[in-house]
Amino acid sequence: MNSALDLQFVFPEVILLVCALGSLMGGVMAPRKKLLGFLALLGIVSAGLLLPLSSQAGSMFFSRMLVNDPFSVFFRQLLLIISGLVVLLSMGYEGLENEDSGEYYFFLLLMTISMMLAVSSTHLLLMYIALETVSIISYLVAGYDKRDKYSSEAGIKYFIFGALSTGILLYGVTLIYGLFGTLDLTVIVQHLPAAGTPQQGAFFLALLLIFAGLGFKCSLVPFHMWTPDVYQGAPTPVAAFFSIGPKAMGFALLLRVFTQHFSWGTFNGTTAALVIAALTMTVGNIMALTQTHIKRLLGYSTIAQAGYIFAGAALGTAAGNQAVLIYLFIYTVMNVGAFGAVIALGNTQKSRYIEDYVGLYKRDPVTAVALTVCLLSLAGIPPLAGFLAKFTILAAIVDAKHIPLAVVLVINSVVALYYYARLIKNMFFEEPSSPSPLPSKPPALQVLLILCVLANIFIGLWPQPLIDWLTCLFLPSN
Amino acid sequence: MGILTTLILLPLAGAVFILFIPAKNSAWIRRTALAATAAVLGTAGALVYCFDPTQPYLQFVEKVPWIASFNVWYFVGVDGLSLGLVFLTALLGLLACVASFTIERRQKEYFIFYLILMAGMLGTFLAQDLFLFYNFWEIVLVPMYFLIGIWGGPKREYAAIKLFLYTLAGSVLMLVGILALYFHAAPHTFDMVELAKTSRGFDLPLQMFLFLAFFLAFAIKVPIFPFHTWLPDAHVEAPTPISVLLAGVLLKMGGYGFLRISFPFFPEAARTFAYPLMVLGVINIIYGACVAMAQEDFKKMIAYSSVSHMGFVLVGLASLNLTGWNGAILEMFNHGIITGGMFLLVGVLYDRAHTRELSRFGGIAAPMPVYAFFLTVFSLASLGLPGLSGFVGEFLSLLGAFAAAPTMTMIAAGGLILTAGYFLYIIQRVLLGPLNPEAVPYPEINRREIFTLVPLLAITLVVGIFPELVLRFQETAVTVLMHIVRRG
Repeated sequence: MNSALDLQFVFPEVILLVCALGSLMGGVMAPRKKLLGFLALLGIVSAGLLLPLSSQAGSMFFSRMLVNDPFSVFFRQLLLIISGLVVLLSMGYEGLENEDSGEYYFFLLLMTISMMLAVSSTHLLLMYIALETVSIISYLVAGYDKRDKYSSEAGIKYFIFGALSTGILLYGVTLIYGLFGTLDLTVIVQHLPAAGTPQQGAFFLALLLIFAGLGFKCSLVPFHMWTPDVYQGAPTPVAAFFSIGPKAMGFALLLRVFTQHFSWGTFNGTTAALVIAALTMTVGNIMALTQTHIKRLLGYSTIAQAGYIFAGAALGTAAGNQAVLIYLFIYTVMNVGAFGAVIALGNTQKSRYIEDYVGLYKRDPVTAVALTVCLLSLAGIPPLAGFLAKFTILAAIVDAKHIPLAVVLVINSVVALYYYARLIKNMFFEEPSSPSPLPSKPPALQVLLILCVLANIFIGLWPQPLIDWLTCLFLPSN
Repeated sequence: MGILTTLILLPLAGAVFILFIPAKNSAWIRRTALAATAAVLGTAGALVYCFDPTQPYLQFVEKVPWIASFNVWYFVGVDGLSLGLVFLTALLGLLACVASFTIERRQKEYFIFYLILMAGMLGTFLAQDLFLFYNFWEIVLVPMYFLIGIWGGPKREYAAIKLFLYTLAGSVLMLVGILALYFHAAPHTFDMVELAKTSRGFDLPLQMFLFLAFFLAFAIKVPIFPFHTWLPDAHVEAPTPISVLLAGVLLKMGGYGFLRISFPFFPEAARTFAYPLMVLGVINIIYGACVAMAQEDFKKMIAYSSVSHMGFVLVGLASLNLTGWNGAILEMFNHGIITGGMFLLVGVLYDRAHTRELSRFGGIAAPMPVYAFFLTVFSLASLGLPGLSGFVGEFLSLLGAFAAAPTMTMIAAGGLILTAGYFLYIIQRVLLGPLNPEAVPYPEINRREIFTLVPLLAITLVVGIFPELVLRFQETAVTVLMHIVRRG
């Protein structure tokens, strides 16, 4: 117990909170609202710089509520990168300009803080509270575009599905508390062998309920229904954020609960987990085939991607877990790039459908090339980063000798290519109906698109630094 | 930086250079592309010159760690199995580049994709690390998709996506196979030389599983019946230079895959599957020839003739003896040269007539005598006239096959008659007969077009008379490989 060290550990979160509050006040007082985005970025960058200091503080904080392990270090870094990218997206999104952007960045940073707390916790109560905070703010930002009825629909839909799922999660958590008298996962694991047969059933049920709650966040089948509707309605940067931020957190918690402390084998769930992974990727890809709305298409595509990621988590092996981390990182740069291109076009054209992308190459080559690179990467075409991500997952699956799942995964990536290629075809193969070039993009968006393209190419060609970084993180604990 | 890396990087450097040339400056775009492909051919020529044919193992090896955690290496090398194909790629790359000068729309992107395609094809033949090999194998698909999809014919979008999906479907299963190999090797490695040694010791069921995992990828590329349906669509829609590369180089990637991976890695499985493979080859020959004969579209006819010719390659490979293999590898080289020429000739006619329907030609030999000469020679080479290169490859393939499966070989040899049938039919319908009134204004074949055909014609003649010129580069490597496959 050392309150100074406790504070040192959460210092990045404190900085974020300060900036969040600053942004909220700035939204009321600042004459130029555009600067608020920079304030948020400043907070994120300084929080990132403080992370190394934070991780020197020790291993347990706030009465074992927060832990400092390689896992939390990785996810805190990843979440900061994600929110940094989403702030860039939001700065390039013109729908936000006239809104109360101060509140928006406040919400965004608050979600980041909650997610960072969630991933560094081994205590189910704190996990639940952080998750609930993220959820409540999510409902607000999903319906942020007040004049758009789809946005309001998205907010309500997310709220209903989300409230139900966190309720289910909470039910599971209470069962755990009833069984073990504590919610600290590290303690529960020690009690585990002592649990008798009647308790085993309740324990099984509790884990199942927790899985359902987290599966909603990761949009795993059968908890995926909300995804396309919410993405379609929510402001595009918010949809982009949903597709990576809460998802990364969801996978972090899934890994934490189901592979670090318990295992799928604890409740004979290995096969079920593998089947869910296979179903998630298949359903996502097949549903995406016929989509005409670009955000719904990306929505189903993220479901499929979640399936690939979950395939790594379902294995429960060290290689599988590492593959999940690599995939999540690469998935972030691929998906942000794709959403960035959608924002770029949505700003000026109000485009919603994939027909609107016809001849984009002639009208805005940077966006078209960036979107193409990100889509090919999502499809897993070498030598782009997405191939490496898929390769590591596939390698982990083959290593664990689950050949049928490996075959399902590779067939899925062929199916996925069809709808990604359809979009590329629209952009490159066909002539635009009006050949005039599009007006120039906001600089933040231009920067973001170029960053994503470079990241996709460089990680693909030279992935060793990324892998080394993960290995460095995890080597001391193993 | 070694000669092989130079070979892969030269086209990429050209592509990057073109990226910075303004799109309007088509003269410099063409010059850069031409310079890059000519440099590739020059380097490939130097490679052939420096290559030591008495050495059966990899030469000009370069090995640098790439992804250390997975034990992936940037490992390139060339031996007798790949040398001919590398040279073929470089030669057709230059000639098809010259033929690409007729492309008028979006030249900048065209040549960027073209050069990336070149790098991918060369890399596929040079890579000696399975991870690297897979990367190059897939890289080829993306520029191909764009090249057919943007610059192709009326049904280009359908053809492009079909090619992309078909070949990807094949290669992803190969990826599973590659990973299975990787995890069965101890220590885990993607090194093809090491893996070939390890995997020979696998028991038969595992070998058979892995053989089949790789088989689909190669079978779709070759293409083997019934996985060939992407080929006619892709060929008919592709612009002429891309058809040349598609038939001349891409199809060879399949045959090369069998030689480089399937047979040396899984010799026991290869012996088990030799007879079915032979049957598939014979089906290819007969089916391809029959379908070719029924075509009304000139280009589609040549496309199906490729299916038929690749059947000879398969038959030679499936014979599992020295003669057959030498024939198969030679046939791959020859088919690249001859069919490359045939597609160029179809392109010449198409540029003038804007149609490929055979019924709309006829008597063209009168206004275009030089064209008639080229078309006749290449047709005769393609149908296997002794003295021209096509004959040697097919003859050796069949000779090898006869030792292994006489009945099948007899049926396959029957295919030669069909082949002669449809090629003579082409000559008759295009060149001979009364002059089709529409054909009168066609100008004679021009100097640029002749330039693209003369080297191919020369090789066809020379190899037809002195096949040893090509064979001597591959014989040692093939002998060593055959020894391994026979012994298991």
